[in-house]
Amino acid sequence: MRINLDYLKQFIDHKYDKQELKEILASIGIEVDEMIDVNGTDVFEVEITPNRPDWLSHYGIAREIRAKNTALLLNEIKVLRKKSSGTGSFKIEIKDKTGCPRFSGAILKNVEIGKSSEAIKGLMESFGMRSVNNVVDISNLILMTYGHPIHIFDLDKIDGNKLIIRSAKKGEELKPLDGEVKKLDETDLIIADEKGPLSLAGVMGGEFSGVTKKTKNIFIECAWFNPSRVRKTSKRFGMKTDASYIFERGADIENTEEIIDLTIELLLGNAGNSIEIIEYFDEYSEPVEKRKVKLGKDFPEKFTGIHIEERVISDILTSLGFRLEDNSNYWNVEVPSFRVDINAHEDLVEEIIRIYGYDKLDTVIPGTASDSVEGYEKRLFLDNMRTWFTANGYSEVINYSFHSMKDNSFFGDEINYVEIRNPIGSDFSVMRNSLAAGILKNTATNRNNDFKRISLFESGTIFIKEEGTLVEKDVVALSASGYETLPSWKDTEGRVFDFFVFKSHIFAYLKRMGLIFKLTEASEFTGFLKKENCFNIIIGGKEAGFIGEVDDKVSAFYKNEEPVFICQLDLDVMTEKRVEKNFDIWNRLPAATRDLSFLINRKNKYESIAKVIEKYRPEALENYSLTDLYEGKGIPDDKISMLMNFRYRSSAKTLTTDEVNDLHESLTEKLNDDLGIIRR
Amino acid sequence: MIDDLRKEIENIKEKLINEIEKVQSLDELQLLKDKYLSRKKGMLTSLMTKLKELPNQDKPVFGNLVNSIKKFTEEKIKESEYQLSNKKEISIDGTLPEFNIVTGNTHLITFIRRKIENIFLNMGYKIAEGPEIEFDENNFTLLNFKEDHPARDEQDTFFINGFPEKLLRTHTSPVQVRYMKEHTPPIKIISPGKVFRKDEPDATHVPVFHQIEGLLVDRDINFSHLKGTLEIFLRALFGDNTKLRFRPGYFPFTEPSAEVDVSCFLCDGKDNKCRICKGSGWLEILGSGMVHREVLKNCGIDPDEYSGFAFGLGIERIAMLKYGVTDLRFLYENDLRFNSQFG
Repeated sequence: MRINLDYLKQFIDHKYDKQELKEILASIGIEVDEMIDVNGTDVFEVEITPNRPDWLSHYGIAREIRAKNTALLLNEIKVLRKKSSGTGSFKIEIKDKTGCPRFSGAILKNVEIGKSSEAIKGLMESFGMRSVNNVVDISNLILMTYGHPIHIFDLDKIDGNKLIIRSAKKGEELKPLDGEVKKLDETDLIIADEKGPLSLAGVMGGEFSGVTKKTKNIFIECAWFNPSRVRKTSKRFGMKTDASYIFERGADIENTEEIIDLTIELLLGNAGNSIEIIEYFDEYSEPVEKRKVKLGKDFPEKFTGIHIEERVISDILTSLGFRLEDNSNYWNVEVPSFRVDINAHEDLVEEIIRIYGYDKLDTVIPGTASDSVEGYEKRLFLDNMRTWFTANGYSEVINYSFHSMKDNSFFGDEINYVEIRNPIGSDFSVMRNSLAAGILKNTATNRNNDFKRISLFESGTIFIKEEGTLVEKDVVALSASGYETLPSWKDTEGRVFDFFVFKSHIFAYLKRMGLIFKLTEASEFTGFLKKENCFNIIIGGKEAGFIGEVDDKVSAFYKNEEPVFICQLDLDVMTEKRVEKNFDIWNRLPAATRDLSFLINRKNKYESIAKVIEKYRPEALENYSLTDLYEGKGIPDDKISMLMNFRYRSSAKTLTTDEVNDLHESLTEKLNDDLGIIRR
Repeated sequence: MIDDLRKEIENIKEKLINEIEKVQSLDELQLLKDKYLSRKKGMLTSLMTKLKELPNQDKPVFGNLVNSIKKFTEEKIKESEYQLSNKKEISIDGTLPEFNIVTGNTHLITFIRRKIENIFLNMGYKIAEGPEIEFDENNFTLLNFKEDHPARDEQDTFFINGFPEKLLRTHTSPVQVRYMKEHTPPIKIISPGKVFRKDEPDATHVPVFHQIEGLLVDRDINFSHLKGTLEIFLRALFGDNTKLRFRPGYFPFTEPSAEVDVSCFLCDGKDNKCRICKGSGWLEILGSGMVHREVLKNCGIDPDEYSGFAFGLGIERIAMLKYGVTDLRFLYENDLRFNSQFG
């Protein structure tokens, strides 16, 4: 809202310069966004919080400044009601009393519609409003001055000498002052005559009954409309007007007659000399009861932590329009009708401390201790993972949680997408069902910027529907592309990421965290990984994620030309399956190692060798590893040559050479029996 | 007899010192080594033959003498060997460039989040987290955003198709709601996390961003406790000389509410053209207040028995103010030229 500083002075006679005034307003909760100069007049653009509709006016602001500095004088607004000639033929009928509990008005005849005075035109301009004619400008001036919207009808357009306030019927139509014809329904509150709707209550008047150059006789409306009703209509039609803005926050229900009188006062001075006041109206059959809040005298100190004198408290509240009834240990505080935001004693404390000064608050440290520490393991695991992978060359990325439909299509079934009803664009229309898409985009971005090693990780939530319910999963994704070790003068080749290098990075970490895991052929092939290079990772018997090389077509979609390896792991599974190890004393007896060189059929995976070893594993076999692998020249096409190393060490005794040889021979035989290996 | 031998050993020692100084190469040193220590004809080896000529009581004395000269000789030779071999070796050029080892970085958002979390963990707060898709009830209604109140407009909300009661949380306050519903005071938590608002991405807006909120509920908690707590926190984050300014504000879920500014850590209000405070000397940093009695009630806590305070801040805002990030979209492009500058 705009405040014209010259106009403000009509209500409060202060001597502050604009900078001081800005500070004072800030100290009581009114933020000045901008200071504007309109034809030499200083104007503040202020931001009014939605709980304070009473601040949406010059008078309301003046009242607050007065409360802050009680030495200043506030010009009370009071005009005497002028006499009316009164014919009694016009009627107001409120059919919907929850929608409109109060409706005041007046009929004026012989109003001369014309241009506004230069003074009013200047005010309109400073408020950022267009000057239309003297009558419309005056209704806007009333709004900006007292914060209660009024509406003026052309009396001669009202059919049947009657205004009816009711809910619209489905199918009724109204063409507002600006915009298209609106189709109304029962949620809309309207002001109608016998023929039909004239105005959308509290939102905008209709074009037909509005004031024009030809208007002679008028009906001035000042009413109170239900905030929720106004808001629904305003939202549904996308019509945010100055009137709806105030009504949906809550106007003052008690000042409607006063506003009518003030409007007439202004019209008399600005719309011709022959104005005749015909009749006043005020439909208010069930007056709103005055709100009262009990404020214990010790409560302000209890709630703010500082002592404020009783006299100061009562002065502050009184200056803000509250009425205090003093009882021995509490006040009964009557809330002024314009303060829609005050309902409880905490609200009063805010009023007191706001004017007394937030800067007077003490700084005290609460002695409260936390009640529990549950649920930190997952975060600890993630922290650990982040530290380890950043130290090993993986950079953390954070992507938006939104995907396009196309992104999601690579990673799951459409039936399981979590769709956003009102997305900001088609690229962001569903919640992500994988972290892979973001990482693939990031990989391409960085490749274009000539990064040679692009290894990334992201932790975050993915979203899917499982049997119709929404599921959020915390996962961690890792990716690698390009060089693992950059070429250098010492090593001109460097080392390029391949599946095994990537897998080694991941598995080294899983081992370090004491997880028991294995790779299996992907149980569900989703198509974004290469069929021949696509695995599930099982941790502690639970499926925990996938690892593999991204399919060429998917890679190309995200503009990657080089191979990208990717892995996604479920953080909850990892956290759940993690077992912290106990100390285990190492074996101090000497170890013996034996090599085994053999040919094996290509169709046998390494896993099958490991299985046989595990099946027949002697207690004294401490460790085994693959030390070389060869295929090609000198080896039959259907075979692979492997060199494995076995380390034997018994916990019971030092093994003799013969004992070691026996163990090794027997294991070799089993491998031969089960897999047909050929020793070399 | 033993005295003669002692003398002889002294002579050998002197001679050795003399000779070893003149040695110029490892080959010469080998010759010298053979001369003294060779098992067959070394001078020290042949000394031992004299042992059997000695009377019994002198034998251990002599043995010791021979051993010590042997040890001395070995050490001298080793020393010389070290010097000679070093002389021969060409020292490496340590100034050759190191290899470019790629290190990873923590994302700036994580870096700031962890920093703030750690301050509060040190103050005894516990971290609580919650889902990103929330019930409208937890995000708005129980936080005293009345149905159809304009306060809801201030947080443009994404909704989920087919789940009319759900939305993408617009702040992390619903985590506090969940926590209060499940726990009895004392409550002392912070809730960090992603939040969503329907904003087109531009330099100062992104539709997905991060918040950290705090909540403390106990008996006799007052507004001054909030100020004391925030003073510790903001000084830890921005420096010991940071000043705080509390201004009245409005949030549906707190009453009284306060906007909190910190003194500009860049210019302290002394630079009219300061890039962050624009000369005002103050930076808006967080929103806070005493938890609204309706919120406590909605979460099953008696507002006449307990009171509490809550506060919240945006991590992206800290990225802009403290770390000079000029465009929030940089945070989500994941260009390593950006990401690698932090953490």
